[in-house]
Amino acid sequence: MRAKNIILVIGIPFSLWLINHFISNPSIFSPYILQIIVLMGINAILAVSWDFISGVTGQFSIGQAGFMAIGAYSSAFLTLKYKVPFLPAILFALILSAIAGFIVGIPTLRLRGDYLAIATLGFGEIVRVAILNMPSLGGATGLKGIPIYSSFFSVYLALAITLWFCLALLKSQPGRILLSIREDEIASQMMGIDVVKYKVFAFTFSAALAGLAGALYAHWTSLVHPDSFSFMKSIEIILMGVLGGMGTIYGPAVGGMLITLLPEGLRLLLEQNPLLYQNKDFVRMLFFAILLLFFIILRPQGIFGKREAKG
Amino acid sequence: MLKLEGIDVYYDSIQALRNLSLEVREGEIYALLGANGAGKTTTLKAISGLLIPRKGRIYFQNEDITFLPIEERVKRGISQVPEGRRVFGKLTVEENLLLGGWTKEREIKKNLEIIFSLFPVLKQRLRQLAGTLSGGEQQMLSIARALMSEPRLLLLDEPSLGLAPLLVRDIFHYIREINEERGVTILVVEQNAHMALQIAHRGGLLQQGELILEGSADELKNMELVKSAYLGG
Ligand SMILES: Nc1ncnc2c1ncn2[C@@H]1O[C@H](COP(=O)(O)OP(=O)(O)OP(=O)(O)O)[C@@H](O)[C@H]1O
Ligand SMILES: [Mg+2]
Repeated sequence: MRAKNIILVIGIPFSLWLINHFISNPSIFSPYILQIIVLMGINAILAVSWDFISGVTGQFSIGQAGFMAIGAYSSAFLTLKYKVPFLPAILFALILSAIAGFIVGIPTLRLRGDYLAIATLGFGEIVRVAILNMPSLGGATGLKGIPIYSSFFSVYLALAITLWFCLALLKSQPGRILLSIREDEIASQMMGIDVVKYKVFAFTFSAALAGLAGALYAHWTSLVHPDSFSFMKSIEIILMGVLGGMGTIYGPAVGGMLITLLPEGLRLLLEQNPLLYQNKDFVRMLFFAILLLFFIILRPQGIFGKREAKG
Repeated sequence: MLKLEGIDVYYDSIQALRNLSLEVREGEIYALLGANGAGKTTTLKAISGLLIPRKGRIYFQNEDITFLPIEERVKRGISQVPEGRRVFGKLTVEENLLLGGWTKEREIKKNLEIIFSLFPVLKQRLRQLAGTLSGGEQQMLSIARALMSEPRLLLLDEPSLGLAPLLVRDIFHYIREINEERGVTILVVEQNAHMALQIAHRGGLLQQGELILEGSADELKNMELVKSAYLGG
């Protein structure tokens, strides 16, 4: 077990670093493909962040884009305006989005499930509108010229750490406690579990992960815009989680990758047909809607989820 | 060991318990009887801390616990087996047990052994999802999960609910065993008065939130009111 862990801890970053050299070389790999692969990794982290609070802990959040925005803007602000190096900027983004999660979580997680969904939805919109009205954050034009610090290496290392941490947590007592809250809140209380405390922890952690994804995103695309963190983004994140299989962590990671990849495949198809291409946004929405319906009807547990135990 | 002194419990504006006083003595099985809606579950919730009385006091081992949070009561040795079992369906039997024992993490190994000697069937099903157990097994798991916190007082809410008569006998046999061999004081709520009074030492009858009768199990069995309403003649 020990030896295996050491090999993983050294082996994964090393292989990511090797692949990074290969994949980031424009003469071998087209920048377009690299772009998609990196965005797949970022969206995988986002989907996992949502799954942690909604799939694992059972608290339905529709505000992940808000936390992502906080991470993206706070880190970009530091690297752009104050020339702060990437790692401290990421840490700052993590902490700030965690604090936001904590502050939003304390009052809302006492509420019943559906109120939480509405409250998180409202939170996401408040963040977006607040940014729109902050000239120092670029307002409606966004922030441009953010240094491109993210890479295949940093994104996939972050994803690997995220997956490792979440999966290890799930097997530990705190992870079991979160699952029990999802299963039956009252019964967990009867076990002597301080349910609100654990929910706030899960929400804070989930917000931090979304913030991490936001920071990676800002330093990959080099520009952030309030519209990138709209309500639609939160919905897209939910779609990734549901598609992958709620509560499994790795399922949503795959879901995040697929939901990033599929539209690109779709685009290649659409380019063949001028009529479809003219309406590409519409076709895309239709495609997602059909996909979602397909899963809800035929495979509600997602790709990797276990079928509900009857009983 | 447990004393309720004149408690009033409300759900918003609806009063569910009226000036309820009740005492459970160390080492006994106390059966709280009553019809649907009499307030039995409400009484247990007030003791475990899920509901806080508006009036009155609750003492456990001579200490006032009226306003203590649930987790503190669990640590002091009060554990509740909820109405309808409420096992964590998508978690395994083992995970359910580990959750039950989370306030006593250092004793988990020892307590698991005790559980397995009491309910051998659970040991064979550790990796099975709790939701796929039979009703009787789920009830055993629910009791076992509550025992993992090493309670001194076990609150059981209708353990016979929905079980076949043969299984009901098994469950009551286990309850007596927990009481006699593990020395756990038990407060059991039941509509099946017949079974409950067979294993109980004492009991009481609840009607519309008030305790209208109290006595030894034998006394209760012979009271007209109990006989006519709960023992079928
Ligand atoms: N959550 C609630 N909100 C409002 N009223 C409630 C609630 N729970 C119980 N009551 C009411 O309080 C009274 C006592 O209910 P309680 O559940 O304690 O009865 P019980 O004796 O356990 O009944 P049963 O045998 O059916 O389980 C009932 O009149 C019930 O309608
Ligand atoms: Mg009841």
